[in-house]
Amino acid sequence: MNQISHLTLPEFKIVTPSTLREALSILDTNNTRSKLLAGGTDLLVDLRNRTINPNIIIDLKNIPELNELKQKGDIFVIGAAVPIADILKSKEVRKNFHSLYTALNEMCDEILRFRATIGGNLGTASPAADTAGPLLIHRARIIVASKKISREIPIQEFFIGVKQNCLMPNEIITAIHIPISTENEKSVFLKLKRNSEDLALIGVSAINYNSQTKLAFTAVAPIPILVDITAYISGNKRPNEEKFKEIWKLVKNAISPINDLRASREYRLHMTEILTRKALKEVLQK
Amino acid sequence: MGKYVGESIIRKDALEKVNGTATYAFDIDNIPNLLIGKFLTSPYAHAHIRSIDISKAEKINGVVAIVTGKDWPVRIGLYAGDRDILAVDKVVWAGQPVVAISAESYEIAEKALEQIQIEYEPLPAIIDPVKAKLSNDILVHEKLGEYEHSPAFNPIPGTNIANHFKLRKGNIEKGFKESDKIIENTFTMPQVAHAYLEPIVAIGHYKRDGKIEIWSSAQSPFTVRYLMGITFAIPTSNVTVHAPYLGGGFGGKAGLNYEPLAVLLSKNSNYRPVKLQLTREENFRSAPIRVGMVAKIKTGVKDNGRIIAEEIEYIWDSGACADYAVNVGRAGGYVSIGPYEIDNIKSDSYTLYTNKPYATAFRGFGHMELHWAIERQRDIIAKNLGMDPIALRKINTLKAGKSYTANQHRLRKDAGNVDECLEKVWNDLKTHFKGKIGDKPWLFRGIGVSCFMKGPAQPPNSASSAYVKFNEDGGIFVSVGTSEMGQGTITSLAQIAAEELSIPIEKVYIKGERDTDRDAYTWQTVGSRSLFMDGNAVRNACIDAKHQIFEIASQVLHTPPYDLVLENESIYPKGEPWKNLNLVDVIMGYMFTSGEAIGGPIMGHGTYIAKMTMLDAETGAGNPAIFETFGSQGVEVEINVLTGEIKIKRLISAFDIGKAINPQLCESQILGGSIMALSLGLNEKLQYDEKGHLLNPNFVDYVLTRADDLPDEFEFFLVENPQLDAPFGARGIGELTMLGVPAAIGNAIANAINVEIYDTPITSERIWYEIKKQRPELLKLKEEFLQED
Repeated sequence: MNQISHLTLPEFKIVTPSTLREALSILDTNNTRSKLLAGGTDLLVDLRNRTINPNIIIDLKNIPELNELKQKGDIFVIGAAVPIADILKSKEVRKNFHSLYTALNEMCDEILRFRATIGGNLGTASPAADTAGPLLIHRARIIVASKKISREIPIQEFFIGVKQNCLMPNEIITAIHIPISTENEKSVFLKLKRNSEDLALIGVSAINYNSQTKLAFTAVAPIPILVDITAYISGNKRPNEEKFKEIWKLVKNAISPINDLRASREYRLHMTEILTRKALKEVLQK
Repeated sequence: MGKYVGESIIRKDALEKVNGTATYAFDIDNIPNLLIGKFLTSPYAHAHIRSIDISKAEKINGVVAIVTGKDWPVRIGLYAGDRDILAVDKVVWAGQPVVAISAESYEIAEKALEQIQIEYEPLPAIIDPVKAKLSNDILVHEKLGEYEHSPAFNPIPGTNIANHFKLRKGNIEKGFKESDKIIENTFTMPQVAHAYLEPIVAIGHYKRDGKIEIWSSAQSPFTVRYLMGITFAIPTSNVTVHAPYLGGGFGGKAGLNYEPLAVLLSKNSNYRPVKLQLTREENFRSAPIRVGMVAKIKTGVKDNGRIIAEEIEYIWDSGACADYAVNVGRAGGYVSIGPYEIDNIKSDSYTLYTNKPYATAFRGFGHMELHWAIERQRDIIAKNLGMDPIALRKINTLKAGKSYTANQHRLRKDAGNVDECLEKVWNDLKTHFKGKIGDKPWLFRGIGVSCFMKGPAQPPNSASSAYVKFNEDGGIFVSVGTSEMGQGTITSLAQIAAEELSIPIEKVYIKGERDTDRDAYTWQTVGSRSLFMDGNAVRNACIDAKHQIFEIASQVLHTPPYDLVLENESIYPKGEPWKNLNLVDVIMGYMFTSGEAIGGPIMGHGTYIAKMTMLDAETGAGNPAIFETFGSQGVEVEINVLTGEIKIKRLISAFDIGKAINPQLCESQILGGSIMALSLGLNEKLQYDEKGHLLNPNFVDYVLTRADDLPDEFEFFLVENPQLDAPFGARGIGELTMLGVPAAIGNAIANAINVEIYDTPITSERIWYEIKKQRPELLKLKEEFLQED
């Protein structure tokens, strides 16, 4: 194949359903030849590079069911197609999910945040997905729907490989449900970047709630990784150096950072350790 | 002096750039019968072309022409003809255009490119310039000996050396023998991209009558015109080049780039015009980039700090074609040691061919790279001697009237003063510096400075011209040849005209678009030369116009021309302003009450030509530049030793520019240039795999500094020691604004944590890596980090 840098996009049909039902029915009949548009920040690049060649693009941005942003009892609902810029305006998100708020606030750049969505971020299932770590530690559930049924997927079951998730071809992510903790919950998201508007070279999230402590890692393994370290922490206190070494051993075994043009494996490992230290510092007491 | 000169006049191009009406080559699509051009490139860094099959592609409806290298096998190039318009027998870099198509639309062109089949026989490629210098078996250009080249350069057939420049002074062996200490280091800077906002655009129209018309994002429309005449074997005068506003150039659009291909396509497309517009990826892979550098420096120094010997080898990685890179090697050669005076010098500057994208001019023209090496070396010497790096510099800096290059040439007496710049920067840094330890034990702060010099690297006969033409309302139209690519020169030139003719700046009209048929000639828009060269030409044109005005006015006022004054749009005899004549009554010819008229429309013309000499081939002796701008830059940095992260807290600059014609434009150049240098110093690098494929042809992985990465504080000083043959004393500043930044950062890091950095980009990962190597004990602080409050 000749390497061509395209100026054009391939030919495709774009449909803009105004209800979820309509979207699911179009997807059901075209699922092998269609692609979902939830922001397009990856989709457009893939189209231009001809790495995908869909007949139909289903634009999900105008579906009201996918644009909810509200509290329902002890659950917070974020519609899959709500632009990041709008989520950032939510006082509840800022108050209850500090790590998620930070991740969204650091995602891509200000202009792209008007288009990008959590549904798109998760759907693409990049190992570096910025929202994945915070959603893992916040015990989020992913609500998906198909023409026939809808189901809930715990986020730790969602990712199955590099850019692969467990969605069926006829399913759409409709919303993310995050439990609002009544406990004193502290969470943090840290990201290693090459400049102030970079994708993640490493993402480290941490949470402490109800005497449980969990870490999540993105961009250092084929899928986002959740590591429960509750057993190593006592009384919501920072581990001593000896305990930390045990935690780090556990983490090191769970992750497998790569060598590439963005950073060496060695530096990624080192920085994962430093960011893990920093994350624990922020969610635990001295 | 100074109703307009010295004032921060609003840019002449401000309004149309802000409201979006300014036209760039990218915008031009209203030429009748315009076709789209697109090319297919080599996937191999080095390979023979076995066959090209275009049979399927040419059958596609809407494809107008398909051309290959054999259709016009003329080798092009600025100083050496080493570049095929389309690869002829072999490809020499991955990304080199091999086949080009003209079509009715992009869709058709792209579809047709998919149908072309090229068979290659891959050859071993040479990627590392140091290996390229030693290689006699892998040659990028076997036929180097047959290529035509400018006599100023010295390619060595049978090698990969595109140019070897020698600088010799004194006796190097004796110098080292008399030295108390000898310090040797190697420094590198990688190839980088210009990263201008507007990718390269070339519209070519080869007309039935044999004339050529071009619209191009070209910094040097007159050079494009000249070389196009040669390339297509037609008189220069049969070529017209239009250069609209440029969306940034930085040297990347200084030479001849895609104009020949656009014209070749047009020639084969039944004389229809063809537009070639590169995508960002194409621009990374197929358009020229900046040289990489490897510098080996050996310095001999006395215990008192006097540097008495310096031996240098510069290797400039030019990629597959030499383009401006031979001249970068030459300029880097004669400025080898930076702004210093050293009695014994042996410097060899080699421009090397490798199988990578070809290198051209880049803002700084090798000087940022060489000052990275020289100025790091100066601080390392000072550390070795236990001396203050400022004191060490002051002992050795080049002073007015002293010799530089080789013995024969002395720095002019009205040259700038590097010590004054250094003092301003250092005093400011020192006054604000609060100490080495930051808020936390793992945060360290440091300050560092560097000095530098640069003049325009141009041929000794480089010339500029200008004309000023009066209009009925007393306004003037100023025509110059220099391109407007964001630097703001046209505004400064307008100020020079307004000052010289004493007319309101609002009445001075000057365009940013160039047209080689109608505009005054200039050699090129490069090397921070325009304000000096074109500025002198504009001033001379205004003086000429004034003579013509006085000639007419003297007959009306019955006063000899030499006793007349032109001020505020009126002419009067010296000391008698009430006996005045309105300028507007003279400029189109003066009519007496009787109806009899004298004179005629006023049009002044002026020229300026460089005052330089050829350089001696064996020693480099001679006068290489019309001026040298001196400067100094410094930074305060904060380093997190646990992560290698670096924050630039303050960035301070000082330049001896003779005279700030427009201080605000100087400020924007300083901000723009120092941010660009910050980005180059900290982030930028073209990354290749071992086969020579570019791995980061996009702005995701070609990392640029973004708004949030900028320093907390910028400060700058404009030193004004005027140069007597400059327009109002002014020297160029454009490129100077970036030259010292990387070295100042390297020196500040050493000052903060006593870790030496030898290579750029100075990424967090590099700093961490060097800490681990040089001061591993610092990383122990991570334990304290976990437990601290």
